[in-house]
Amino acid sequence: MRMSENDISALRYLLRAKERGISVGPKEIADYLGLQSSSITVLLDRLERAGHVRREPSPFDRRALIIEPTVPVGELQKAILSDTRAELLEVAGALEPEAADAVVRFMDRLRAAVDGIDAPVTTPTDRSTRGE
Amino acid sequence: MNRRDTSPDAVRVIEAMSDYQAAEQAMRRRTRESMRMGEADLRALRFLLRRESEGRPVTPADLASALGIKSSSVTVMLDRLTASGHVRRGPHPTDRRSLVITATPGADEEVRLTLGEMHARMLAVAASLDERQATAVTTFLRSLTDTLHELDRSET
Repeated sequence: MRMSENDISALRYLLRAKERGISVGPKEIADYLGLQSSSITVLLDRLERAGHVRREPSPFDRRALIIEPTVPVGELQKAILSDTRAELLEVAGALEPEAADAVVRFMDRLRAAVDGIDAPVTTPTDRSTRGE
Repeated sequence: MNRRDTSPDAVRVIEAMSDYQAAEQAMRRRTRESMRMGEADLRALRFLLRRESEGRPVTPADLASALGIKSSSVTVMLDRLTASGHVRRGPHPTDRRSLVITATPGADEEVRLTLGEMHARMLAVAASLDERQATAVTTFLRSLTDTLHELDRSET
């Protein structure tokens, strides 16, 4: 299956959450990606059909769903790499291990910083309904 | 294409970059939504604020060329942003046929709060690098930029 950028973002987000032992529902994915919940339903339908996620009932709330990532890591990597120009891979491949570590850590922290920006400055009500 | 020879380090780097890129895109969407503003509107406000801080007035024609959109689209955009109270049209000091566009203090604060928070967080990450790491990251990003420029040139 050809994965879109949003598919890849959603899966990586799910995998990161899982690593930290956090379960995620459709609403969190919608908030994170900044997409309407209707688009998220379509996205999850597609990923579920491809066997990349499973919708499961939440252990805490029977009416709620949690999304379990089931995509093989190798497959996700392949999707990311196939979107990457060979020339850029070469630049990345030329890094010394220590430099590669520095770059990965930097990008990771930058990503965490950006992820923390939710920014409904003018609409505080939005913020209070987030992540419930 | 055969990717089997891609080193695990290179894969990690590409993954981290792709994650960052996706996170930034998602953040921009969230920000736009919370500011109830389109991407072009936000870019226009940022441009206005930057030019104001440099003491350089902005005409509708400047906006059109900075954003790469038609002047008719700029007019529509300015109508919208004026109605929402984000910008004001004023007389041009030297050219009676032209206008000067300024961001209102409210828009200024809205953008600053949103983007200022983002810049502060990103700056904090950059500042946390030690010298060796900073050199590694800078060198890598430069060669990445050079490569992209070369690709651009060879394709046009």
